[in-house]
Amino acid sequence: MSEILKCIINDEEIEALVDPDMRLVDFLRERMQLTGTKIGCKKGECGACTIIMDGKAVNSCMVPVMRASGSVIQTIEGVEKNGRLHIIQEEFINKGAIQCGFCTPGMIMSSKALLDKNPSPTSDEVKEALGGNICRCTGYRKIEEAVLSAAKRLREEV
Amino acid sequence: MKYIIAESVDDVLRAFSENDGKAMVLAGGTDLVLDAESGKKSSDAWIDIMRIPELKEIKTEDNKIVIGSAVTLTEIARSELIKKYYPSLCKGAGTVGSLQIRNAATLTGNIVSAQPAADAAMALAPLDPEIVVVSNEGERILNMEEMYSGFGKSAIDSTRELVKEVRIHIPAENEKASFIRLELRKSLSLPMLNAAARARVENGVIKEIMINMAPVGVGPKRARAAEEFLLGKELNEENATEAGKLALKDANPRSNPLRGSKEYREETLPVIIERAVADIGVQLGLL
Amino acid sequence: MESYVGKNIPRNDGYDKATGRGKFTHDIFLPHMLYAKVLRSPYAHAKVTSIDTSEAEKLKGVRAVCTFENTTNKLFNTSASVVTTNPGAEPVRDQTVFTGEPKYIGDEIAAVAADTEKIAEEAVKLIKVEYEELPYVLDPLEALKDDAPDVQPELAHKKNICGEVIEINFGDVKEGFEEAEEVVEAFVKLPRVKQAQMETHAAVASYKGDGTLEVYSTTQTPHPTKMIIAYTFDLPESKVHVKNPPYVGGGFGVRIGISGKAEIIATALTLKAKRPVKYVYTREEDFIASDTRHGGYLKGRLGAKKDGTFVALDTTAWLNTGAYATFGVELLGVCGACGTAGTYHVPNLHYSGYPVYTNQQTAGAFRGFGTPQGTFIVETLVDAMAKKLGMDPIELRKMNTMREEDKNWFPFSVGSVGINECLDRAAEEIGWKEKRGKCKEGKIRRGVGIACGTHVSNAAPFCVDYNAVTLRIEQDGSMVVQSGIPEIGPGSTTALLQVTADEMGIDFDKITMQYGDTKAGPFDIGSHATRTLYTVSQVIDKAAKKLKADIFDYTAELMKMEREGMKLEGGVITSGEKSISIKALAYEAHLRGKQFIVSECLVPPNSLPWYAQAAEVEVDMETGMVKVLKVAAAHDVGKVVNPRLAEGQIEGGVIQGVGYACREEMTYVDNKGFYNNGFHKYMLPTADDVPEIVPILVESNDPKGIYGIKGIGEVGVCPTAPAIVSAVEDATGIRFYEIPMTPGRVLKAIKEKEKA
Repeated sequence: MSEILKCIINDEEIEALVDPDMRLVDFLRERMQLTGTKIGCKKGECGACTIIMDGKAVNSCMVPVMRASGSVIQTIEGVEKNGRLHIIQEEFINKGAIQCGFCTPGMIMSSKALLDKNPSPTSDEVKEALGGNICRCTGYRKIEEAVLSAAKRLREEV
Repeated sequence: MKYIIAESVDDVLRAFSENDGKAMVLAGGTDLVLDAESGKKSSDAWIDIMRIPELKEIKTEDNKIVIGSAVTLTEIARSELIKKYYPSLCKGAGTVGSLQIRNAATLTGNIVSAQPAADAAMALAPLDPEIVVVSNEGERILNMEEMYSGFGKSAIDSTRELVKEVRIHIPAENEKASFIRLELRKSLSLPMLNAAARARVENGVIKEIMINMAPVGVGPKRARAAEEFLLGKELNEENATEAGKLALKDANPRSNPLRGSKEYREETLPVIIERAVADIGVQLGLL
Repeated sequence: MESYVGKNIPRNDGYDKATGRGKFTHDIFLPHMLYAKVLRSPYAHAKVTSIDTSEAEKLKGVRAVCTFENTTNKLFNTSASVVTTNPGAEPVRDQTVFTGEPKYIGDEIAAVAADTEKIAEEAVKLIKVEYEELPYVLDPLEALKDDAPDVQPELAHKKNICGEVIEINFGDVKEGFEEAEEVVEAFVKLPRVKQAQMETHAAVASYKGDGTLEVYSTTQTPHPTKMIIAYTFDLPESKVHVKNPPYVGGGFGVRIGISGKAEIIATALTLKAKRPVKYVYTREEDFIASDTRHGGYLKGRLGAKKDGTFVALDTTAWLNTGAYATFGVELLGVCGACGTAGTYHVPNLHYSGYPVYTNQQTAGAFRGFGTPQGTFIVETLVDAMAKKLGMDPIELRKMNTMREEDKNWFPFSVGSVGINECLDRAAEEIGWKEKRGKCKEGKIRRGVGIACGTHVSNAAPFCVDYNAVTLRIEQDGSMVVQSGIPEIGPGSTTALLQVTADEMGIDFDKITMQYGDTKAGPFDIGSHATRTLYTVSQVIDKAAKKLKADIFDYTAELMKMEREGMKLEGGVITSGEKSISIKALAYEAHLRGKQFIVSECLVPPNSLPWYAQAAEVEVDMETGMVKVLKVAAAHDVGKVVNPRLAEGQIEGGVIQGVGYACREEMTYVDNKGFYNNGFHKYMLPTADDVPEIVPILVESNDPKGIYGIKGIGEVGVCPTAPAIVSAVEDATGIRFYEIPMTPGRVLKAIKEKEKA
């Protein structure tokens, strides 16, 4: 049985007929072709599919698609605006926080959810925000550095 | 499959009767979604309770802290109200899974999924909560032990019953709780062992005590022998150590290929019980 | 002129990866595409007595069912070794696409392609298989016993030995031990650990009626993968097109060749269905049914003079390669060559390496490729010798490490050696003098330790390792580098453009690289063996020289400029007073029917990267918890092309080493298989559990590398575990001969020591 999903994805109103069995991540990747959101485990154990839903970082693989009804969703594709990278994205590139890139969208979404609410996070707060995002390449050190540096730049911009 | 977004408790009760055991309550979904996929749990419909306003509150009422069943673990971990009375509950709720999981998952879900070493349920257990369950038969109040019907099994039938809220008494001034976790890593891991305790201490003497531990049996198991020993005794390091040893009397840990052998868990359980009890002493300025 | 080499140029794939616009194999959706699911053996060893696919085939939406009965049973090997074994030796070919005699829990029996993943999954459940269980063996030492079941009865070299026993002899080890005044011995057990790269193995294969096959793949070696697919299915290599899309979500060695079996299975299905087939491994499949690091046992004896001079070293490794070879033979070679024979100047050496078949999933390449295992036994012995001689472990190491002028076992010269500087700088950073050997008491104890070693900068001359590139100048003077290498994460494609820009004198942002595609460039073995930057920079150097010569000859003639002393810098060609921009020249050439284009092919030399890491740990004596506080990682990687990328390689390697030392382990449960079927059950480090890491770059000037470059990719992980074990010994007085040092193992040892 299909149901109607209405939500906002990356500032756009979406209306779609969905099978409620579907998870949000599959809807985003397969129906919306927003393949920037990755699947690393589909069990909520790696964070590659992290998106921001109503201001909070969530694993989109754990969200039944209908739970998105009425929600405001942001995926990695919505972070860059008019061809301009977000400061977090720039700092990920500048600080060497990216290697294979598969965890990167999820990492950036977790970082953004943190910095949207907390412009001056401590190192421990950054670690908490990224604890659910596995990266096997970087050793995390440069990712933390990128987030702290982005926070500083964002504060300076305001 | 049908997806019902409930807007009130009445909506949930109506969905129960309309679907007659075929519609299941969906809270955070971080366990249920996986159980549904693996075929461990099946239903024709999900009743999403996360948008019911009255279940989304943390408040005080009749000298009790009330936590609605749609409150997420992150909201508990960051609640100033809870932090004021029971920082240990913030700590327990704040260690489940990862931030993404905690942003979705709930305290009651952590109980109902019945994983014995669930950290939020563990931190809650010694606070001796009243758990309010509603169904079309009416309302009933269960204590923590009554929430578990066996190893990994919940006493709640999620197709007919809704856990509405958890109520916790506001602690006396000389009453503190603790939570401790022996972990292989901070995030994305169940603990090797966890324990929580609460004590009321007058003039250095323990007047009331509850200690829970897991995974050593069904749910957050009471360390009754340790509790009995401590009751009426001074809260000091020696007694905490002795209580740790006695905790083994109520514990029957199993071996896990990853999270510790039976022997390891028996060796370290006394240590974490001792630390959980001692932590209360530290909070009260006694140790 | 070095305008770009040595600088922190941001990686050129950063934009794609930070915006989510970069495509990975998982992101490929083709029109009319089918989805595959695989039926895997529930038994460690069995014979399929009957298989019935009729119900599965009847299910609506099922388009192809492949089994060992209707698919080629040609023997092959999923690893690149099958197409890179030196002439004269035979590669091991010991597996088929599907099997009727599964040899491990997870072995592939059959596969389905269907309209959706769900239908494919349902169809797999409808395949009826009857098995006859057969005896199995799980442990490499057990497998070598005469009465052990045979894993590969027809293909094994001797009783359950895969390929051959690797022997290394240098000097006379018997005489060496006679000369020795002190001898220490050790026996160690090392775990099987998983690469756990973030993108699971995947392939989208599309075969068309015109005989062409296109395969999107997660491989880290597109050309060898093309060769393996073509060989297995008897297709012309020219008709098989393998490409990364272009990104690969990590590798760490796990897909040098086929990614698990993704490309092979997707190809079998597309050949049958004649439609594109996508096969993405679930995380569980990736964990339990693709290569791991080799676990197993090593023993060793080290002999020294009273003054500390090493005179003899004898080591043996018995590593568990699982049911099929993949890289079993080569890995045991590197374990001996780099791990045991590489670090120290020992005049008398012997090593035997046994790649042992068992009824477990395959072990193959994982960052370090045998070097971590070999380094572990040697560093265990060296610490034991230091203790026996009452010497400082660093002083003992420094007097025995390899020197430039040393004759060694390697078939190439030692080259530049920065190992002693690495030892000194790591020691200083960790506070060795203040902390090592100080009295440790109380419930929480701290200690420091150190370990060192070497590796290679590519696989030549141990196996076929060469590459070719094409360089061309576009009509506007910008430049394209075409190469068959992939970009699996380290940033090789950025660093190589830094080298190209300096070699050519053309601005970095005017150069583009085409890569990760068998049609992008001529043969290149791919990313393995710490080679990509080291070897490809060499062939680029050769090609760039030729390209510049062509440009200069042409310029001299066309522009009537003096050829002698002509140079190209910052995109401008000058000679004497005259100059012309490469942009103007390229267009003038174009108008006259000329493009500047060269291809070059090169077998690289080899160089030894050196390293030392020092670790500080904290041990909870009541719970056995080991917490790594800090790792100081000093690496001699020759000239550093991009410091930030280099640090990233080291930090990433160190963290994998911390996991190896303390937490990571594949645990086998009899009759069920490996317990660790997901991230939740595999304790690799998370962001909130990492120690402080201080990467230290030591730049020895290597005479063989371009600009003095050596390899870097694998080395970060190699010495971390023995350094941490040494630190735990310093803290607790207990030496661990088995890793990971889980709380259970550590506490048990503490209790035993207390009793004793």
